Amino acid sequence: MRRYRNVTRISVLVLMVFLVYLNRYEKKAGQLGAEQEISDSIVLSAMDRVLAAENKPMLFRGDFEGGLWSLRIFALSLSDPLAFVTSTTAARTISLTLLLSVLLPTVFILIGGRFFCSWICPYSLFAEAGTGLRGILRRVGLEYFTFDLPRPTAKMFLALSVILGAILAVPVASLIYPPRLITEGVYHLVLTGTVTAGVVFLIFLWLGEVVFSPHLFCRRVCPGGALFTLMGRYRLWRVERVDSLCDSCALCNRVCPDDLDPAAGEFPGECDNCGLCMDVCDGRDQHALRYVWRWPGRRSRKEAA
Amino acid sequence: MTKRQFLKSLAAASIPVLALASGSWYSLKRIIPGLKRPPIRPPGALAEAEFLSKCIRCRRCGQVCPNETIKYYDGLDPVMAGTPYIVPREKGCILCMKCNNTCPSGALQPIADDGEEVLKHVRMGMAVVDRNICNSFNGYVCGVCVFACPYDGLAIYAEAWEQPVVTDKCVGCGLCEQVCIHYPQAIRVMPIEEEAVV
Repeated sequence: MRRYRNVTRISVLVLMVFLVYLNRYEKKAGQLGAEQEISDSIVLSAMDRVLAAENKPMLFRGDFEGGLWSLRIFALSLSDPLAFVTSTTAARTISLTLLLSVLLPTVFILIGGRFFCSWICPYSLFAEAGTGLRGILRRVGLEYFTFDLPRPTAKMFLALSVILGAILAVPVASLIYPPRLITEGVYHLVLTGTVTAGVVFLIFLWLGEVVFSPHLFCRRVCPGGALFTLMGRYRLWRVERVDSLCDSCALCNRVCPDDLDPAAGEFPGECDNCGLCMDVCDGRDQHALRYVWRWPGRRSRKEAA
Repeated sequence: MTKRQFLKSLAAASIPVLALASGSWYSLKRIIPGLKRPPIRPPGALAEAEFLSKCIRCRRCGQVCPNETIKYYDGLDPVMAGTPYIVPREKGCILCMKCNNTCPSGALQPIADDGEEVLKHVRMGMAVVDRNICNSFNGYVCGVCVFACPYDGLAIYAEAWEQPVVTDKCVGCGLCEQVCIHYPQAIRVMPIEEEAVV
């Protein structure tokens, strides 16, 4: 599963960078006209060579814009549900456009729970790389202490930041939300070449995670993760354990980035459907863990058997 | 959730939340009121306090802007960072009404792309002429600002010797400030403190 997730996450990151470049290219081509070549950036001039073979877009089309935080594809506007929660509570009014744009993502999260965290969010890519780096450090002999926070910390962070955000009238919870920071980081890096404070924060966060506790932020702090935990409690697409095939080796518990207990068949809202537990299980040829579609009320297969 | 777990998670979560909230509070109470000039927001923006709470900092208005007018704060200030603003001297707004129609959060209220509607609803600021340095008031006939104005005759008109007079119909697009041939600019868009007329 990890291979597929790497494909989706890296392509999401590449697509985000590409969208900003496409946006810039269209504006630039519109400003300069068809005859002039664009040569102020390597990527833009490469795009110019590819696209100029066709007919150059003379006008700024603007079919796509945004990133992971809020995106527009033609007329379809999509936003993160956390954007709705923070903006609505801070402003104390419901914006209809924002409500409409979070509908589709909300449906996906109701179906897939925290799948956004492990399949789409680029920060989880770095967080998992940090886990791997930590493993290498351990083998070399450099290991610092590991600590963990209690499980309700993420929900507590979300609740507190929403309350304080409503008092201050500032969307506090979204200030350190990695998908948003990556979106704006890409935007500024491509267009102006500046590194935003959010990106610096993410770099230090990542280094801290490598040294002290890999994947800690996603697991215990991230307000988006907490929101999707609440929304995805009765998700349809989930990991399930088949009792008859499990030999209780509990290797899955050791790899679980969310500190859950897959060996006991425990998959609450915190499970982000990443499938790392399935990978180790399949590696041992047990195949006791698998993705299933299940309605909330229904009994699972293991109970029926 | 046990009581012990509750208290521990409360303590753990309150550290980052309080750090962020106190940063925001400091920005709202100290940094923003002390700004030399309050920012000029894109057309259709709500009043400043409401705008800051509603804007989700998605940067879509800047991407849809065909003129690359809209800029973003990218400093450490947690409240201002990521919000759009306009520097009319660098680039004025061409009033295409794309940014406020794409805004997902409602911080920029949608306005129809129509001359009458724009004149009625857009109040990004108000142009103010500095008569001490304006060429037309100092012996050189100029009138560039009047020619640049999309609502010339309505929002700004020229008296004798092309001396510009700004009326209260000015939408604050800043095209006059952008083209002003005097350095520093003799006509400036000043932000309006009162609520936007949307």
